[in-house]
Parts: sequence; structure tokens; C-alpha cells
Amino acid sequence: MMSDNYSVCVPFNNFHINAPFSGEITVNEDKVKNIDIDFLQLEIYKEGMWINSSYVEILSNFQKLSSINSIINAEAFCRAIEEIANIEVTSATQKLRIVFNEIGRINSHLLVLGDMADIMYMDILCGEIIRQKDKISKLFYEMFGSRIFASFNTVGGTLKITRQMILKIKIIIKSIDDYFKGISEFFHEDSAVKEALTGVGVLKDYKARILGVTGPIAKASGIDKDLRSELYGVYAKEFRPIVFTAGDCYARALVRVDEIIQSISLIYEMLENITLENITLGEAENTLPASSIGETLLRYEQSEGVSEIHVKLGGNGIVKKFILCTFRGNTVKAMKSALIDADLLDVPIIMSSFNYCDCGMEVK
Amino acid sequence: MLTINLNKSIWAMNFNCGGCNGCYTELLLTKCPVFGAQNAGIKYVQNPIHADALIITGKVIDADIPHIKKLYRIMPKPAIIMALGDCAESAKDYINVDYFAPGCSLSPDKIINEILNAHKSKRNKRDRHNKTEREINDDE
Repeated sequence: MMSDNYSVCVPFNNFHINAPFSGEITVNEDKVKNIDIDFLQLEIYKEGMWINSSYVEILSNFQKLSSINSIINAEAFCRAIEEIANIEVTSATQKLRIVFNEIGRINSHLLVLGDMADIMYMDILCGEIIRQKDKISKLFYEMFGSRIFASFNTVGGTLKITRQMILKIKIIIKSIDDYFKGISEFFHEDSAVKEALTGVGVLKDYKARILGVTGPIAKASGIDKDLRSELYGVYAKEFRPIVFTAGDCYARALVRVDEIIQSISLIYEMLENITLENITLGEAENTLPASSIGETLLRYEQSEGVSEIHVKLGGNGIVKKFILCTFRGNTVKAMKSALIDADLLDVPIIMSSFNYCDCGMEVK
Repeated sequence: MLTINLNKSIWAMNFNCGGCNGCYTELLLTKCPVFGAQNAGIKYVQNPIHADALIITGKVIDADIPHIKKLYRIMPKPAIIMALGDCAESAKDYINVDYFAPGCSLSPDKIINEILNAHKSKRNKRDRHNKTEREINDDE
């Protein structure tokens, strides 16, 4: 006999999910039948908050929008402004930006993997992963005075970077590299991890394409697309997106694990032949010509997906329009799709593997 | 001895109201062996039924309040509501916050200290709670 549907209040955030949502899951015989999610945090940013502000003001606010992607967001904003104002950035500066972007990516992926290990009740693994993340937080603290926000990019260049800082980055990355090999091996070979994650929350290739999913989730479903390849193609010797085809939680974890290893090798490569003399130091307002007027739409790869920014400059460094569209809407739809018919007990791990809202919220 | 140990442990649940997630990530870092929240007697739980303390992070808005109230209703009493970080101060506009830890964002070791301080306030609260129960019994 079929039992009746009943509703379960999803344990909003618990410790794992980065933003709360309201809503309930309809369950029948311990299988998820429907999920209704309504996000809460979108209301915080009121319309018009970012309009007619100077680009320096927006840059400082924009990079504080997301703790984990502050560097990547700021870099994208600077690139957009540079595009409008026709400011050329040296190769050394761009290489250094790539280094910091990749550090941000490692930071984000370590957080998600730590979350997933926590949900699987693998406390030691979680502790070890988070310990690696803490090294990056300490690096940021030493370099920028904040464990969370790394204010590094400026329009036209970067903040002052010394040889000691580069050496420090090398030491930290080497240390993470040494430890992470073991963690990566564990994710690839441990039977308990495989058993917990394989076949859970499957998002098929065609479904991912229909829903417009991007980032590690799309790559785990077999979509061979990464916007970084356009930018890195110029600077890196070889860059190929990490792709898995299973589309389950295990594939999503492995994409993140392998991307960390890829990022580490990219950082090594970029730091190898960087010449500090060629790095442009952005002098805030001085770099932007007063006559720069125009608008641009820039798509960039955050650690968890593709976001778009639309910037319109109205001269004198005043931003007339600023719109950020994140991937979150698509990711949430994909997550809903993967949750249907999943076991109720698998809901936290599926939600954590999608990490739907790590990279800020939409601003208009 | 057992009683003393039980007194020292606190089971906490996090409710993240959104924002930059800085406090949330730092709270997660407290689990790291370097900081060792568990050594300090702090255990993070995922179910309000098991939680002594509700740690609110992020900017609290109208839509969060029903959820926070719902969680508090489920938690065994006396329970404490702790607001962690500057953004979470906005919770004071809506609900009674027992303990507020300011900072943007707090480092993991500071978070552990603040949770332990909040726990002390919880013990005081529990003593008050027991006292009132006794008083009620006496009255009866």
C-alpha cells in the first residue's frame, strides 16, 4: 500500500549549506517527491544601491559580496573597467592575477570538500581539509590584514607585491600540495567515500545542458566547458577543463579535488617566470581617464559557475549601471532536479555537492 | 566528574542568514584540529532537537525570523540564541538575543572563546530556570 505524502521541513542550513532557504520537501516512502525552495537573502540588496557610485566604491563593496570569491569578483570587475577605458595590463600583472584567482578557487573548493566530509561524518578528513583552507586564510591575513577578504586587484594593476610575498605564496602552496596529495588519493580510492557518493543525486548530461548549469556541476555531468580556457590560453602552456561524466555527488567531488591539483600546478607555472618589475601597480583613481564612457558585458568563471557583470561607465569614474547575474538560479534548478526521487537521508550531501549559493547574490 | 564534564560541553547549531558567508566559513574552520572546537567541548549538531545554542550568522531579515523562531521552539529549553558577527546584530531588532559576539569577521579562536562565554551565560540561564521551577514547586 502506498503511504501518503508528508512534508519535511528541510533543516534550513544546518552547518553545511551556505545560505538558508524557506520551503519544504514533500516526501513519500522516504523518497523526495517535490521540493519548494525560496531564498531569503536576495532581499538584502535593494535596487539602486550600486548606481551612480564611483568605480572604486563599487569595487570595494563588490569584493565584499562574497567571502570566498572576493578575488575573482574583483578581478572580473577590474577587467570590465579596463575594457571600457582601454587600459592595457602587462602580462606579469595578469599572471599574478591568475595566481590569486587560483588561490581563491582552491579556497572555495576546500570549503565544499570539507563540508562534504563533514556530512559524511568523516571528521578527521574534514579537519585535514579545513586545515589546508586555514593556511590560505593565514596567507591572506599576512598579506592583506584580513582572513576573509583579499583586496588585491585594482583597476589597471594590482596592489604592491614584494618578493617576500611571492616566496610566502610558494611556501604555502607547496605545503598545501604536499598534504593534498593524500586527501586526493583518499577521495579517489577510499571505498567508504565511493559508496557514500556514487549514484547519489545524479544530474544527467542533457538535463545539465537544458538547465544551463555551469562550473564544477556542469563539468561533473560531462560538459566540457570552462571560461578560464579563453583567458588562460594566452598565459598557460596547457589548460584543459576537468570533466567527469557520471553527474553524481562523487563526480562533483572529484572535479573539485582534481581542480585543486590543477590550480596548484597553474600557480607553480605562473610564479615560475614572473618578473616583479613588470607588474603594474594600480593607483586607484589616477589610472582611469575621466573621459572613459561606455559599457561592457563580461562573463567570467567563478569557482562554482559562470557569472556575468554588466558595467556602464558615465565618465569621471562614475558607474551608471552595474548588474551582476550569478549562476545560482540555474544551479538551484539543477539541484531540485537531482533531489527528486533521492533518499531523504541523502538530501544534505546532494545540497552540499551543488553548493548553490557560495558566490554572492544577484545585484541590480 | 561526569557532571562537570557535561557542564562544560555545548552542542551548537548554526543558522546562516546569508551575506558574505565569512562568519560561516570561520565557524567551519573552528572544527580544524589547529583550533579544536571539540577539545573546548563544543560540538556542532545538525538538528535543533540536540542543540543547546543557536548560532546566528549573517544579516537577519524579516524572512529569516519565522525560521529562527521555529528552530528555537524545537530546541530543548533553556536554550540560548547567539548572534555571531556584526551583521547578526540585526537579529536584536526581531528577537531576544542572549549573547552577541561583535566582529567582522571573528577569527576561529575568538569564535570558540565567544561560544564558551555564551555557554557560561547559558548555565546562568539554566540556574535561573531551575530556580524558577523550584519556586513554582514550592508555591504549589
